[in-house]
Amino acid sequence: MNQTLPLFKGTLDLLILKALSVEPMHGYGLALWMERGSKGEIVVEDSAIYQALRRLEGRRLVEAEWGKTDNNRRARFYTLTAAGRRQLRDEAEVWMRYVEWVGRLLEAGDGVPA
Amino acid sequence: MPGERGPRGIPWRTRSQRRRETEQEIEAHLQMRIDDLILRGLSPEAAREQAIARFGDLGRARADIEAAARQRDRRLEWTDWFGRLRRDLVLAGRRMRSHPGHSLLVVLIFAFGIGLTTVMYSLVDHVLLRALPFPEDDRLVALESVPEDGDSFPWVSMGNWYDWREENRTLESTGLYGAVQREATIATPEGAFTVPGVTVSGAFFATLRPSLVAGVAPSEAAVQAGETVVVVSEGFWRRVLGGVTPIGGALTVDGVPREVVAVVRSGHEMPEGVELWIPRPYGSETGGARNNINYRSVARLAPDVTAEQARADLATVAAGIRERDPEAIYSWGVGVRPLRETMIGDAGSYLGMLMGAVLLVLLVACANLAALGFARGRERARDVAVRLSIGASPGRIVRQLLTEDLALAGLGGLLGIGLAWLGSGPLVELIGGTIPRLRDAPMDARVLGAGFLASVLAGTIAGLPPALASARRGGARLTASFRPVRRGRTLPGAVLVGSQIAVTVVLLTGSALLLMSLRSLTGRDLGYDPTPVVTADVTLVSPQYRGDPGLDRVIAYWDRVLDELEAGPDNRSVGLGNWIPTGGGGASFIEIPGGPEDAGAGYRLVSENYFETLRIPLLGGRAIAREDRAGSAPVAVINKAMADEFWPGVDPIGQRVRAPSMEGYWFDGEAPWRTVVGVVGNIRHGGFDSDTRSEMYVPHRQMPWMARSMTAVVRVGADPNARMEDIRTRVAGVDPDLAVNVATLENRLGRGLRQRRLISSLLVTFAVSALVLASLGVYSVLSFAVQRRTREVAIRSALGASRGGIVGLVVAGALRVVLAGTAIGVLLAIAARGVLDALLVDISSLHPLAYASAGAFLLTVVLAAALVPAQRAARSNPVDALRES
Repeated sequence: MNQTLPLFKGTLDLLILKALSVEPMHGYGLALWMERGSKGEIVVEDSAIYQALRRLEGRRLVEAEWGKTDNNRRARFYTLTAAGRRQLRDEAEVWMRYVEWVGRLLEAGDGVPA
Repeated sequence: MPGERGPRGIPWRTRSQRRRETEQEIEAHLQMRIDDLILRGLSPEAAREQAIARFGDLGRARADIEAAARQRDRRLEWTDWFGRLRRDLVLAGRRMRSHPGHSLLVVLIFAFGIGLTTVMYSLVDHVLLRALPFPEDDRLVALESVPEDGDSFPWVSMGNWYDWREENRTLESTGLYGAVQREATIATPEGAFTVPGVTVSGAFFATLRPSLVAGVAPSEAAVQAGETVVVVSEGFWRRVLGGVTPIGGALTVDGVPREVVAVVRSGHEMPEGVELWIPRPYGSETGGARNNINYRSVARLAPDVTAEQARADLATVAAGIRERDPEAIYSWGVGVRPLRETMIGDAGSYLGMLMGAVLLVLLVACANLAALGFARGRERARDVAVRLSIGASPGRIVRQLLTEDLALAGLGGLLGIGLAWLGSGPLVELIGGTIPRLRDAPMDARVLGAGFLASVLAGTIAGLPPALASARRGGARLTASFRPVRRGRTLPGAVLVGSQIAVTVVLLTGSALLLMSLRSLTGRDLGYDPTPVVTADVTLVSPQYRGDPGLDRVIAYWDRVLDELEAGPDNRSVGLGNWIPTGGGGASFIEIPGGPEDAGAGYRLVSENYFETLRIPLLGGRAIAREDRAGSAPVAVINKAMADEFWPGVDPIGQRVRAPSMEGYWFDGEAPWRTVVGVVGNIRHGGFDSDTRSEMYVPHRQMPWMARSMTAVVRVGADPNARMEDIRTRVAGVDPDLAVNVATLENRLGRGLRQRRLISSLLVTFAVSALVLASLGVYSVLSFAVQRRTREVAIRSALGASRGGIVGLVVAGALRVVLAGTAIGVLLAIAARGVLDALLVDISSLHPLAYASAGAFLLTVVLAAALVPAQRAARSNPVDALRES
């Protein structure tokens, strides 16, 4: 496939929560995490990540603090809050079930899911 | 770092901070990607280009991110505020649960003050602040007569009104209605009864435009053409006509079958309380009727015309009238007053007074709660000190304490508004007849809003000062290392208690003045003896009494009523009068040979034995006799005031007088000269609060035209209430088609005092409430003081102080505050005395007894409240006290 995958609504927030659950990251780190993790299949404009991050900050799911990168550059690092962790758990579960059932429905040969 | 606070800090970011944050973050991002791309071998220029491409359109992206950041901050601020409120409320709830008694007391005091304020505001709002229910009510005015002295009054003559209507250029329309509401008799197969009715001109409805439930209001043309119709109130329609009678049904009103053409919506009745509007043609009669002011007038100003312009316009008309007719004594201008003002009458002044009183009670309640708050603040000073020491800001402490008070005020407010809602129905029921425009229970968003506002204000007033003090003192306490507060630091408590006492004194003084006035009023000599007397009103509306042929039957009817009543058991004396005391009354211009022009006197028709029945003393000559009839010599009996006014120093017996405006019409314009045959004592005709004036009494048999509506008065031997039914039956038996309204004279008198009694009892209630609160305030502040001085008291009693000495010591501590408060209260009461002037009769608003009794009463109650903690202190065991501390 030449074309990159379009991002479904709400998916970006979920992916950011997932990425931050591993370790605190800055926005560029998040962009790289998504590009590399999806082998270039999922690509968004970088600015969308920052909008999403501010949304998540407003909902108190992530918190931000200025810090230094490995290369000694100043960057804003984002951390998952307890509420963010809960949100990730709940939404990931919903997402997985959704994907599973959408998949089953699409693969059902005679229109009746196995 | 600007804009970055701790995880729970307030994220106040300014716009420029937000912009810088975004700018810096984007720049860092681009740099990192450029670094990576250069590492992969791109030229710096190409790397930058690609990094920007990956980021998205820079200008749009920046704007989008900033917008998202703005939303984020707004949301954070809100949730932050809300979260802290929730935590404060949780703390408040915890504290309420741990001090249930105290919290309950506070809630109840709040509920009381706020409930009272809310219900009083609902009355004020409904009566004074709301518009009239009629469309474009600001254009509605009352037209009034203006005599030579220039003070307009609301009664007008048909003759003047007719000219005003014809010649004005500023009125859209104007209507006339009877100045006296009367009882209209409704005949039904089941019997006759009366309802309050009023005669109106055809244009009355077109002028007022009341909302109709059904039908069409009669037109001026139809009424002038003589159509016999009637308009009924919604209440009458539902009650009497079952709410279903189709428009066009017939109703026999005062013996005339009339077609029901319209139903006026409830609340749109004008004049208030009327159930029946009887349109009749007006306007053709002028001339002699010009000074006969038996009507009221309502008018609608033309669009964009001010009352001032209408007044100027009508003044020209009035001047024209006077030029044509120099005898026109009420034509020195025309009064144009907003209709709303005339309907409210003097209710404005006393409702305002009562609202003020209620706010004072609320103030006392707040001061009381603030005092409690100060006491509580000392009690929890350690708690505050600890919280300050571990980093809570003073603002945070104030906020938390205030939240607690506002929560209590909110609970109290809910309870109070609930009570007001429950109570306003019965209250309106209780006072409905005495306050204009108050017929339905007014509880709506405005009133609820007022209640809410009162809650917030009360909570803030009661909570803020102690909260501020707590936060301030809490800081000081840390350095003072938990030592008890020094003596003499009771200032806020003293001020609060003193102010409660001062306000209470004001309310008590007002109550005392009103009660004294009421007492002196009811103690007045009426000039007659109202008990035990039964009255029976009858209006002869049936056709056989009409016109000249009916006159003999009118006299015969009353003769039979007199005979029937005299035959009744225990009926000591029986008489008839057309305007008996308390029942309103007519007046006439009178002429006396050689006497003054423009003289006037009250004019009453009476029968024989009338004076005897009411025990109005005969001072000279003879009373009206049964022999004074049509054809016999015209006579009159006058009262002492009339004798003194017109024949000072002369024996009035044998003098002559005539009443042209009352009698002229029936005698072809030539009222007969009457010979004064007797003089009787003065009476307060209008009730306790009326004055005596000149009055003449004329035998009803010599004025049968006016005797169709009379009241029989019966002096009975025992309880008049028990005799009412028999008297009703006897009168009704004379002509079963006529409605008979029976009452006791004492009741009729009481009705006139209802409003005064009501105002007085409300003010007394408020004053007593304030007194209870103030006593509670003194009690709690003193209890606290005693608690603080436990050691001192213990040492004193260990050293041999007597119990009395200790009681004295404690009470003396309160005495200064109480006395100062009382003195200030008396001064305030003197300053505010003008508020009551309009309500006081017979006594001055500076009457020293009122001030003295209010002060003494307050001192007694408050000092009694002070004795309780004092005695507790005296009884305490010094050993225990010393050991504990």
